[in-house]
Amino acid sequence: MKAIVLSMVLSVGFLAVSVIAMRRQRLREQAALLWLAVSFVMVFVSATLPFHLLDRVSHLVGIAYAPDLVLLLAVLFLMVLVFHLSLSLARLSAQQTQLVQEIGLMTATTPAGASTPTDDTGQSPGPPGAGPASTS
Amino acid sequence: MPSSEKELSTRSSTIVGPAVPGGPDEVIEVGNLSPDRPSGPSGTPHQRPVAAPEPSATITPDRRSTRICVVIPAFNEAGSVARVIERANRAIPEAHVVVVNDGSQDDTAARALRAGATVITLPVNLGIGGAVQAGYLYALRRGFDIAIQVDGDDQHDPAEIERLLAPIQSGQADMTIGSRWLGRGDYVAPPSRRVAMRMLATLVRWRTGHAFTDTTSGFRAVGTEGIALFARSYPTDFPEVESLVLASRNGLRLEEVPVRMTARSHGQSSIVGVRSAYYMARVTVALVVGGLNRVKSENREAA
Repeated sequence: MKAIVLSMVLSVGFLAVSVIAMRRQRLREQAALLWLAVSFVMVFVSATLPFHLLDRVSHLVGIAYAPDLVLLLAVLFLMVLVFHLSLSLARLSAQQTQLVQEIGLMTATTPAGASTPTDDTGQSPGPPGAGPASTS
Repeated sequence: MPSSEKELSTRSSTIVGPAVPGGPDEVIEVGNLSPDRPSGPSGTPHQRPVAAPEPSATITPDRRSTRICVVIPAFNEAGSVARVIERANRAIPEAHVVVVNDGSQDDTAARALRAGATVITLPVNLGIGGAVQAGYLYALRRGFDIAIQVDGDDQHDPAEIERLLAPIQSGQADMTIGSRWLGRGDYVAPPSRRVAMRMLATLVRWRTGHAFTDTTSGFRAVGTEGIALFARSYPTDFPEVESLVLASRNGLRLEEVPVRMTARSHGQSSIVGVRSAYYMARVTVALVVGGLNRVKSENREAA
């Protein structure tokens, strides 16, 4: 009985923290949905502890010791999550590189008196109209 | 002295605006900022949509009107950058010299400006790959025909630039790489480094079919196609080797040219000790696994 109480308190607490973070708009929709789902799964697993649902599921997939199933799922979930974050990080850093380069180009300085490279031609570096179409 | 330098750098400099205000290239980048969109058409993060220069209308083949840009990436190279610029100016006076100041903490920017170069200052340090790509972006948007990459540490002898230019100007090659192992000069590397260099050469030969002698050389020149390719997609962190494969896989004709390189006059190689093992591991993974071959098809789509 103590285990159920402990597990319920933790799960509901986590759910509450997720909801609060969402209400304060600290989480973006995608992440918010994820943590909400995780909270509900935790609450559900805690609530069904007396009915030995976890034991039955582990026997079904051939795992003798029920907590191992929980650990296995937790590790898998965290690995997928970390991989996803790793991808996000790569994307963000690529975007940052682009932004930094753009800032660098926008603030490029040329010594006074020197002719800027556009002075002698004044031609467009790109074909007209090719721009916006190629991004969409 | 520092105060007068600072004064000089701010007073004698003018902001270089965009080549064409509101031109097509600007619109592209704005479109790319929307948050939930993948950063490139393929979703590959380090590729970006960039309008390539129109080949026939804007570029005339005769040598007189060939516009050459010397790109010098520099991170804390205040001790040598001015000398590199002066030597480059002396070697090819018609070239436009651009220093990409990669978030330096010393007065690299001021010294480069005083030596007569255009300075692109990156507000944070991006590493050699990001810095060099900024230079190629500059060359692309200003419509340069040839971009030459020269290290800011004075290892490369700008007097040798002519050798890099010749095959591109004659139309023999799209990209030239200055090699210190083809007989010119007396550059010596420690044995451990030589073994690593041979391993890299083997990997590159496997991926490209070309037998390069100096895959880590950062002394190179590219024509318009290479400028467009590298402005669009350039490897980060340790780009010299990877960019060879990228260029080759995208149909650029590469040629190695014998050049003289001198020992660096300031600082140390950025790749020493444990970092060199890390370098080898990363480059190997990039060459064996890396998806360095998908840029050209996108270029065709955009054209």
